[in-house]
Amino acid sequence: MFKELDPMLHSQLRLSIVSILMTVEEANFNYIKEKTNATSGNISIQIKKLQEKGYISVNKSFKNNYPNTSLSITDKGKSAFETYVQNLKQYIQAGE
Amino acid sequence: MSHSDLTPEESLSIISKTIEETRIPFQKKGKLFVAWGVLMFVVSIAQFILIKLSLFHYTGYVALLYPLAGVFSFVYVKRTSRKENQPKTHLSVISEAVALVVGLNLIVLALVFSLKLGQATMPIFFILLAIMILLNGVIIKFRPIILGGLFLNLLGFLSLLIDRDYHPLVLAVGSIFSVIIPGALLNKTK
Repeated sequence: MFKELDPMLHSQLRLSIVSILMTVEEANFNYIKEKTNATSGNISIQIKKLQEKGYISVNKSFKNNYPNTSLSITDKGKSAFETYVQNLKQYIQAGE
Repeated sequence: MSHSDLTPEESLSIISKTIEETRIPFQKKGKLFVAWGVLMFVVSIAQFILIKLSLFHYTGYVALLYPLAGVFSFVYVKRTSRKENQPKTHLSVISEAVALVVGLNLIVLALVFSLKLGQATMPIFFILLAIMILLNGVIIKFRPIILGGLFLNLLGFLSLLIDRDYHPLVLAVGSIFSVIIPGALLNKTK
């Protein structure tokens, strides 16, 4: 019996954002934009969804008088990502 | 980038591609390694010459270049990462913490305990430096730096058997094989 893949992570952009945040301690909005090649608007929407689900934390501050949004993954987000990867393996192994 | 339905293979591909692209190019550290190695070499040789000229009290002034270089390195690393929009990685946090802790320990040992430690001062410096180099090598998984750290560690123990007047020379040798050469090799990696 296959476990359902977390719909919050089973989206290209959200999965990319969470994968980046799994790799780093903290990343700012521009870095996410640079790595995903997505538009600012789209990223903002997906970040909000991930934040509402409790998967990432968003810290807004000012750096050299410019607004700076830094993102990091929460424990809940880490656990969800790990479960997602585990479930993903089941699907891939079944397909082999 | 769209967020349509994904196949498991596509998901896995996104994860591995993103993680691969997020890796920080650690070869940028190579420049800093070489710069520190050259500084260590110059300071050691200068100290050796001063000792041979019996100008012992001036050796401490030359060593003041280390904390100055430490401040410069800290500012350089912070500025570069901000300029290049680099994120804070788990490994870079560990690497910076190790450098800070070892750096502060070296300063405290040099300023407060060098008289008490006497002959053992420089060997303890070598060993602490070796630990820092070794950990950096392990963190970035770069064998020449790991070997450089081990070599300096060995020099630390060997220098306990050598007269203290020659400790700067030992450090000069260590700076070439443990810092400059591994740093240059790191610079060349892709």
